[in-house]
Amino acid sequence: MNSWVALLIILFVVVGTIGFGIFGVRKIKMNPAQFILGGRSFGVIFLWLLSAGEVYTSFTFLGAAGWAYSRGAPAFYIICYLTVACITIFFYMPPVWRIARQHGLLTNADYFAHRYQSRALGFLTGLVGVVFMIPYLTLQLTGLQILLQIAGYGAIDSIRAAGAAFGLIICFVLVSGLRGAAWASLIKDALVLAGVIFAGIVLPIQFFGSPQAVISGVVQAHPHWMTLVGPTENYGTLWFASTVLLSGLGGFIWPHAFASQLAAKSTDTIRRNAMILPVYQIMLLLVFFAGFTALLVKPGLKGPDADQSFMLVVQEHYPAWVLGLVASAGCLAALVPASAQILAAASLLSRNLFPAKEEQLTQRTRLWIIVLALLAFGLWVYNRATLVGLLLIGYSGVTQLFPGVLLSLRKQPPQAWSVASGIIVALILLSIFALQGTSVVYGAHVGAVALAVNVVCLLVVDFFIGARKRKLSP
Amino acid sequence: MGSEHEPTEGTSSSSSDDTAGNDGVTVGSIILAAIPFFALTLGPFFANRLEPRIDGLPFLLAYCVFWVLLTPVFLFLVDRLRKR
Repeated sequence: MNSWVALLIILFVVVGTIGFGIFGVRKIKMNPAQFILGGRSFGVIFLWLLSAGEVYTSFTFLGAAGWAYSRGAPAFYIICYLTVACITIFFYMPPVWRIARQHGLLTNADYFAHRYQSRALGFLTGLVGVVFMIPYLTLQLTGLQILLQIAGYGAIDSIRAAGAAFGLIICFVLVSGLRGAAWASLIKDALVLAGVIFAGIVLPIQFFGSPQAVISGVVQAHPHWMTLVGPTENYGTLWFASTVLLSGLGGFIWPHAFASQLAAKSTDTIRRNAMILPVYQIMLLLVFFAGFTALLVKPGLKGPDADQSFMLVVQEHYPAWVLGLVASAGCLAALVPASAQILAAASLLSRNLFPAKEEQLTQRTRLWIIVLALLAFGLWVYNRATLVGLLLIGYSGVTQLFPGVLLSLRKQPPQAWSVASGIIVALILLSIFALQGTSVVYGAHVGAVALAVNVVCLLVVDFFIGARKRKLSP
Repeated sequence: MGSEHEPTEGTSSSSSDDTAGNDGVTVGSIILAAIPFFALTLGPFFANRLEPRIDGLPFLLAYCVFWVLLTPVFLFLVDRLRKR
């Protein structure tokens, strides 16, 4: 009985949100720029909804609480890096947007191909985007499965249920494109906000009297939980600083995040969005409270189970309809970003890896969405080990494109091959570290180390082959 | 700048500096934005403490929240500088 109440609420919310998204785009005629970038017409509110909608995925919802539960203070990096990302896009995104609009560029790989006059570099950067986007996408599937499993009280096959929900959202994005995803973000953000206020304020008050009391409780039980451990351990201060830097610089290099910025209607919109987006981080503070509450109420969850922490508390102590509402917020936090992510990955395939003609582009992108969806779901069900490996490199891997974006804005950008060699060397380095299972080198995040190697390699190669620099087209 | 070939339809007009290529990035605006940037990346080296607690929050978390909330103010000032 209980399981049906919660699941029906989720079904109702998901279908309702999809309906709302489709309603929002009913009068829009689809062309490639409309499908992939919403016609580059998003104002501040729409852009904010979309960027916030993409940044706050199920991983934020469950993962941030999971980190607070299992690691404590290192979780604070999440609110810092997103803010650093906003500071950086404030500067580099407006000129990038301007170039993209002038030349009809739709993806981040388009940008590389155009700016460096090299289809090969466009191919390489597109490939990097797709390869790391697939595991990121399946991360949403895992989040979805956890939520459906808890909401079903174990009574349903959560893998199939996650597959069904994923299928629904794929159909949705096929019809509505990026604009539909932005409309769906409206409901998603509202529901996630309600869910987070419940989990981060109501839960602590009911169990301990106030959010502050939870902090005191955690400090009493675990004296070192609220500070970073010394420099010799993993997750120390250097790890924190390097991770904030790495994730901050790479935050909007992800294909879907890059696309969301290109969808802005003006450079002022981008700047204003960068200004207000940090305020949204305060929501994550509440997610931390939820994780800390779960740590005291339901201790002992290990490894990936920590991500289920506060949902399990809700399941045990609240009626099914409350669980259903909180879980449906989480499901939307998985599904809405997934729709934008798969759209971005598919557009890399249809534009940069297997370029389609302009008039076929929308159809071809739709086709790739279906292929990617099947591929992602198949990998997720049958070969999770590969995904975990790719994901370990993913966050660091995508950031390796950042030097190329930044340096492209110089009057004399480096040569395409210099940029490519930096990316390739960094990715090889990251793969070696991943195979060894190393994620921290001398206390710093491996991705940050790879980024440093990347930049050095880029400059050295450019020094040699760039001797006869030719000017790029303005 | 040459002619704009606009591949999209229904794009609303944008402000003039979008085509003029004027971002107005100056040394001053970069220094101003670098303050929250480095406060957030380098902060834990000196803010990694539990006490004093601020409104119940451990100092490290309060420090992060403080700079996250202050960043919009800095970016607003950078934008003001740009438009001058």
